[in-house]
Amino acid sequence: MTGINPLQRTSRRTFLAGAAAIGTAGCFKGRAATGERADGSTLSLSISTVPADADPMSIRIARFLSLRMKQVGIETSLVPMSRAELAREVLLNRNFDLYVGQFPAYDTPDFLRTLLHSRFTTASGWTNPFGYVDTDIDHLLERQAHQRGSQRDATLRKIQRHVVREQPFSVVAAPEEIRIRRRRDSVDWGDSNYHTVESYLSAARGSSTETDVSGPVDPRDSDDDSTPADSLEVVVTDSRITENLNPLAVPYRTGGPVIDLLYDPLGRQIDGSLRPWLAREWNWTQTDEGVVADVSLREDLTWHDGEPLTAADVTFTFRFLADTSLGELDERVPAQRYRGATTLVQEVTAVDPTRVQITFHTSVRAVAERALTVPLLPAHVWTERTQQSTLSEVAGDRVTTAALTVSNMDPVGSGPLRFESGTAGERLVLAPFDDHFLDREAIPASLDAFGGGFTFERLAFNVVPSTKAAIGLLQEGGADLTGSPLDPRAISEFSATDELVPESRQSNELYHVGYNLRAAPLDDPAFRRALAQLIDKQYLTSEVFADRAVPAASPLATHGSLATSLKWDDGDPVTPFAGDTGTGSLDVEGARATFRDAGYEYTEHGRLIAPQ
Amino acid sequence: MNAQLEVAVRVGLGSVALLTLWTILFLDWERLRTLAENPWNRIRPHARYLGLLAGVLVVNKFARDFGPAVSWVIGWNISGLIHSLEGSVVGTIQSVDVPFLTPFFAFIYLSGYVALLVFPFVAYLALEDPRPLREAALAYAITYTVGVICYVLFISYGPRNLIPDLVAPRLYAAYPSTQQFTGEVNSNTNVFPSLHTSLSVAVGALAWRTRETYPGWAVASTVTAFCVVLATMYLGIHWATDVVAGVVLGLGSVAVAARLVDRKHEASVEPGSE
Repeated sequence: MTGINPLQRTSRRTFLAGAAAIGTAGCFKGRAATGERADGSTLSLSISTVPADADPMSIRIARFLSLRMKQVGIETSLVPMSRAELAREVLLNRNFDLYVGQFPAYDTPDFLRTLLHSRFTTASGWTNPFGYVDTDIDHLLERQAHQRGSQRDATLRKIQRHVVREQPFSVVAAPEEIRIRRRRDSVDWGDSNYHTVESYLSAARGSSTETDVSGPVDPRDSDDDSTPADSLEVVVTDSRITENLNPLAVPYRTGGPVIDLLYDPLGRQIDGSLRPWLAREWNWTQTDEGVVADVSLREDLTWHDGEPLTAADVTFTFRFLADTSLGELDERVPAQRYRGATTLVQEVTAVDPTRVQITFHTSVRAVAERALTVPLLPAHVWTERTQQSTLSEVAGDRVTTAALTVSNMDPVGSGPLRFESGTAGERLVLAPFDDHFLDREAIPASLDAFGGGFTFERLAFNVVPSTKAAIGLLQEGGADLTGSPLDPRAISEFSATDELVPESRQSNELYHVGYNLRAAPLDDPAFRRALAQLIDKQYLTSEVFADRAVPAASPLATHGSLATSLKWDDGDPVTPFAGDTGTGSLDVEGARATFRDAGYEYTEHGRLIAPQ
Repeated sequence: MNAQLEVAVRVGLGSVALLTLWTILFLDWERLRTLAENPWNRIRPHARYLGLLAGVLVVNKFARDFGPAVSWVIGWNISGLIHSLEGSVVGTIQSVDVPFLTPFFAFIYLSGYVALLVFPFVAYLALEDPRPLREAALAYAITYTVGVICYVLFISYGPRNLIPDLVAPRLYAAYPSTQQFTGEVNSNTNVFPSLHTSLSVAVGALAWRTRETYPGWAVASTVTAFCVVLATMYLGIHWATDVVAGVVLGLGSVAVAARLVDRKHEASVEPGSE
C-alpha cells in the first residue's frame, strides 16, 4: 500500500517523463513510500531523513529505529535525501512512510493547531503532514485558540495527552542548540542569544574599530576597501540561504534569522511580548466575532528598491498569503508557510494609506497577535508571480504558483538588512538598508537597543560542510560566529577559550519520528504505539546527542503547559522502550508480542505480515 | 576561502612530488628531452583527442553544477539499495584501525590520485607511438561521460552518510578542511560509481598495455591504483559496490578506447607496420 493513490502516481510519472529530456526518467524516479512489498505479503516500510553531512542526529535516530524494526520483522529501508528534498517530500508531496526530523521552532503552542487539525491534511507545509484526522482533537485545538491563561493550559494538557496516546508522531528529544562566538574587541555583541535578529541588530562597534587587525580576513574581499572590522562573518553548515531567499518556499526555510532581517513584519516578538515594528501603534477592540486590530504604519516607510510601503502592501500580503494566485487559477493556492497566522485573519481593509483594520476569527488577542508577525511582501513585486509554475522541481499534481517556487535571490523587503551579493552554495552577503526606520532619530524606547539598525558594513554568511570545518574557520579567524547549531558530538572535543565562547540554549525544535497515517498499518494507533516502543529515547539522548538534549514524550515538552503525566521520568511515560531503557537493547520477543497484541501476525520466518 | 586554498596547495605539492619521483624512476631522459624541446610537436597530433577530453571535462563541470537539481527530480535514490546489497563490507574494512593508515590513505586519495591521473599524459606524450596517449585520453573521456550520466540518473550517498554508526568519516574527521575541497569536485550524492576507482583502474590497465615500454610504471601504477581503491573505502567515502562498478567502468573504458584507437590506427597506417 502506498501513501499516494496509483492514479496520482501515473500522472506524476507522465509529468516527469515529459519534463525531463531523458525518456527513461519515468522508470527511474525513486519512491520513498514503499508500502509495496517485494513478495506481496510481508510488511516493508521506509524511513526518510537527511544524511549525516546535513544532520548526524537524524540519521542516527533513523538507523537506530530501522535496526529495531528489522528485529521485529519489518523490512525497513533508509532513504537519505537533502534537507530541501526532505521538506519537499514530507511537507509538500506527502511522499513518505516514516521520517525523522525536527519540528519548526514555535512562539506559541497554537502551532499544534496547524500541525494536527484535520482541515490541513490535504494542504501542504507544516500543516498536518501526518494526515491525522480526529474530530475530538479538532474541537480541542479550536477551543484553545479562543482561551487564555489556566483555562487554555488545561485544554493544551488535554490535547497533549490525547495526541501522545494517538502517536501521529513520536517525539524523541528536545535538543540543545550550541553555537560559538569569537571574542573581538571591535564588536560588542550585548546579551542576546547568538544568531538571532535581536543580536545582529543590537551588535555595536566596540572600542577599537579601525585598527583592529584581528577581524576576520576573507581572501575574496582582498580588493575591497573596507577593513575587516567592518563586517560580521557568520559560518553556517546549511547552504539553503545561499540558494533561495523566498519567504514562502517551504523546502528552503531553515528557521534562522535571515528572512526576518530582510523582511519586516507589523510587529516583532521582543523580550516575550509583541512590539510594534513597522506599525507605529495599534488598538485592539473586542467584537462578537473576534478581536479587531486597528494598525497604523510608521510614516515614510520604503522598500529596499525605494518604492513606498503603504497599507495597500499590508492588505496585499494577507490576501496573497491566502491565495498566491490572487484568484487567477481555478483553485486557491495559499502559501504553505504562515498558515497558522493567516488562518486567524478574517478580513483586512486599508482605512487610509497608512492604516489598516484587521478582524480575526479568535477573540483572544494573544493568539491573534501571531498574525502580525508575518513578513510583509511588496505588492509591486509579488503580483508578477501569480501564474502557475510548471517547474519540474515541484513535481506531482499539486497546482503551484511562481510565488512559491521562485528562488527570490533578488529579495525586495523592508527589513534593516538588504541583499548585496551571493554565491550559491558558498556565501551570502547582506548590507544595511539605509532608509530603515531604525536609522531615524525618534524610535520608541522598546526598540532602543536596535537604534541605528545594523551598525556594520556587511553581514556575511559562509557555508562550510561540517561542524569541525566551522570551528576550524572560527579558530583561524575567518568567522566571528557559528550560525547553524553545531553537532554536539563534535563539540565534545572542543573546550572554551578566552577567545571562543560557546552558547547553549534549549530548543523547542523537537526531534521526532513522523508517521504517514494515510495508509495501513500506519493508520492504526496501536501499530504506531508499538513502533514508538522501539525507540529508546534515553539511549539516543546520550549516544546521539552526547547528553546535549532532553528526552521527551510530548510535543509541548519544553513549554509551560507540559502535562504532568507526560513528564519524562526515567523512561517514556506512555510508550516505554520495549527493552532495557538506556541501553538501546531491545527485548525482541517482548516487542513482537506488542505487535501481536495489536492484532498483527508473523510468518513462520518471523516477518511481520502486511495488513490487507 | 583560505583553508581551501591551503588544501589545494598541499594536494598539488604532494602530487608534484609523486610525479617527480615517478618521472625520475620510470621515464627515459632522452625521450623527456625530446619532449621538452618541442612539446607542441608532440601535442598537436593528439589535438583532437585531447580536445575531446577537455570538452568532456567542461561538460562534466557544467553537469555537476546543474546535475543535482535534475537528479532529485528524475534520479533513483539507490543509497539504501546499495547498503542492503553489501551490508557491512566497508565497516569490516574500517575495522582495521591502524593510526598511520588514515594520513597514508588521505595522501593517496588526494595527491596520489591526482598524480596517478596526470602521469600517463607525461609518460605517453614522451613516446613516438601515438596510441597510448590517445587511448588514455579516450578512456578518460568515456569514464567521465558514463560517470556523469550515472550521477544524474542515481542519487547515492556514501556509507559515512547513510550508516555513520558503522562507518566513520575518517578523511573529514581528521582533515575537516578537505571536505570543502572535495565538495568542489563532486557532490556527496554521487558516490556511485566510484570515479576514483574507475580512473585509477583505467590508468593501471593502460599501464599494463604499455608494460614493455614502461615496466616499472606498470607495477607502480597497479600498486597505487590498488591503494586508491582501498582508500575510498577505508576513508568511509565509497561502498564496495561503487568500487566494483568503478572497476568495470575503468576496464571497460580502456577496452573500448583501445578498440577505437586500434581501428583508427589501422585505417591510417600501412598494415604490418606495428
